[in-house]
Amino acid sequence: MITETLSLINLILSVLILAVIFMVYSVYKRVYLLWFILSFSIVPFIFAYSLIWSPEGISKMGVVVYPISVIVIEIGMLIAQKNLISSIKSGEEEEYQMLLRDDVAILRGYEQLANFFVSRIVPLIGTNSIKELLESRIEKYPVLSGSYIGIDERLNTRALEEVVGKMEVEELSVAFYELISGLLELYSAFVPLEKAVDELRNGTGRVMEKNVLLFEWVVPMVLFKTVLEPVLRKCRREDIMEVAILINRSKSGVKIDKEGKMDIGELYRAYPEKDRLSFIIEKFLYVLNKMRPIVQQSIGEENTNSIITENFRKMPTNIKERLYGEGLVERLPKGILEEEKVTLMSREKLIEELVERRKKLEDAYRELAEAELGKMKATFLDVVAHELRTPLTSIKTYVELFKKGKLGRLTKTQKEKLDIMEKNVDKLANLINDMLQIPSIDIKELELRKEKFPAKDFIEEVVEDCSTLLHEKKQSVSVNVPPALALQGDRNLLGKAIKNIIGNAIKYTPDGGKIKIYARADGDKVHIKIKDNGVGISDDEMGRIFDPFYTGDKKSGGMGLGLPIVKNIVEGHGGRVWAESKVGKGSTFHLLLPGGKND
Amino acid sequence: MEKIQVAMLLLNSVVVILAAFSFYYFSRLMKLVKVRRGGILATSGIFLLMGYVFFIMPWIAVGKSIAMMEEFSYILILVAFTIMLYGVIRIYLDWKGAVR
Repeated sequence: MITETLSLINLILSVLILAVIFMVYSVYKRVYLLWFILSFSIVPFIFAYSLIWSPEGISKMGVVVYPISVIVIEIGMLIAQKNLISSIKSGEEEEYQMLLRDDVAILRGYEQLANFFVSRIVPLIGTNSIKELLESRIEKYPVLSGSYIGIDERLNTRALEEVVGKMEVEELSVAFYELISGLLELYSAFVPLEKAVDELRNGTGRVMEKNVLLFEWVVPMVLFKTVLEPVLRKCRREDIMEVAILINRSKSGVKIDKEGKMDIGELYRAYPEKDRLSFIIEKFLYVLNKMRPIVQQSIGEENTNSIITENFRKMPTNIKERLYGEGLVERLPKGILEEEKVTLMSREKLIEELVERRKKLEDAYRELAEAELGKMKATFLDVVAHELRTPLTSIKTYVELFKKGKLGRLTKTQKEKLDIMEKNVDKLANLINDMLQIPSIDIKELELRKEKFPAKDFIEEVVEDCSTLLHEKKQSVSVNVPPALALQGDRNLLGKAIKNIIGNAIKYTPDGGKIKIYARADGDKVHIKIKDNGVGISDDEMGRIFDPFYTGDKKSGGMGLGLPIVKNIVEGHGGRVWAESKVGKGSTFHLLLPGGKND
Repeated sequence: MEKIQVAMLLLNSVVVILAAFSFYYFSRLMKLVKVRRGGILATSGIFLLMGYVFFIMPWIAVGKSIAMMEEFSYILILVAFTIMLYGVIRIYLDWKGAVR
């Protein structure tokens, strides 16, 4: 039983592993993954086989299935691994960039660069001098041991790949810098220096195309060997010596010999862990600024600037772009790469201007949209005001004339109907007035109508206005407002807001109920609380009571505009309104309005 | 020595030779690639091999299965598969992020 359970679990696990490998294959379709899948797909069958045989035990000959299956799996795995290794080694496929270890990738980059020169030197002088050079470098830098010039007349560093993880990249870089620099010297013995420098540019450019990791390690060579060294070598011998003394004494890490040859091995040794590019740019600018006055004296200012500019422009595009992106151009002395500086500056300015213009345009669009909306609202209100109010006024006038008997005598029934008509006309007129209060309050207009007034008197006046309704329902109102408290705003609008809340409190509080109004100062605001012991508001309704035309209680007969108008008026004054309630126990409305103390 | 013992001995010597080759390629691969999950896969491989050895040993030694050893081998394989599942899931997550 235990064996069967374990077999089943193993079967499930192997299927899961297979599924995950298949998922890897789905994102990264490679032949070696297919081999892994194919070979591993045998595993679930092995456990299924065990499960089938387990009740009676595997037969003697049946057991040979296991080693045979394992042999098939191992063959599949071997093919997969071999396939993966050759894929990585070829350096052509994506694996080269994605899977290869950084240090191995850098080593291969150096190998390619060295071979770039080897392939140019071999047709001129064969491999002997190169072999001698390599041996001398191996003697000086043992990290190069294992690398050799193969029968294909190319440098081979495959043996180094096995041990590269155990050595420092800086150490490796110094050794390869020395080797490549030696190859460059060897090559320049047979071709003009300009051509050798050109080849260094081409070589680094090509290597960089395949291996971006190498950028930080080839930049010192590109900057010092292809930009500064050629211009220094054009100077008079005594000037070169002067520059050499100046630079060699400094802590730049660069050494210059009497021929003007720059040795930057120290720079690799001093390479920091981070910000390597900034480090090398700083060193480059330091050396440039130090040697420039002497070089200008020697070959002329214009000549110096134009040669350095030209050397910069000849750089491989991929290196140039990254260097320019690091802000090197802007920091170059006046006279060097002036056109590029203008282009880069103008591009930055252009981007800034475009961003600013876009912002302005967006603001203008928003203002325009708001203005359009405001205009539409105003037009709509005009239509409502004129097209609905005018005929209503006329209807009301005729109703009054009929009732007074000025348009003929009326029967009792007609008078009764006219009363109903008048009541409804009044209702409609009130509704239209309420609707006109719904759109946002014009802040500018409100500013003109703002005044400061005592809160206590004001609230008592509002309560007085509601006295008829209060008497009808035999309700009592207590006002507890400190006399020193003052409100600031449009008296009429605030009166309407508070009246609406008191009106609601009266409506939803049973006969004989109590309404309490409190107010107190709250910073530069006045906090007014209107509390009733009415029916209350349920939690479901609470979120919607300030929505226009929402009426929780259909029997109330209201249009659902009272509280939205309150919200509109209070928020128009920069205040806040909210409510708390318990069903059956009553509601409390809170208003936070601008105010303070009486002057 | 029974026939089955001879057969198992021969077949498993091929298994061992192939495993040695596989280990050679695996170690070469690990020197080149920066996949850090190699250690996980190697651990699971060791457990798998141990499980297989415990399973096959009785067949070579006495020409039949020994229940306790079979159970033990299944447990080792279970551990190996659990580690391997974890390893391949980590590889999937790593690669998913790296591949465009």
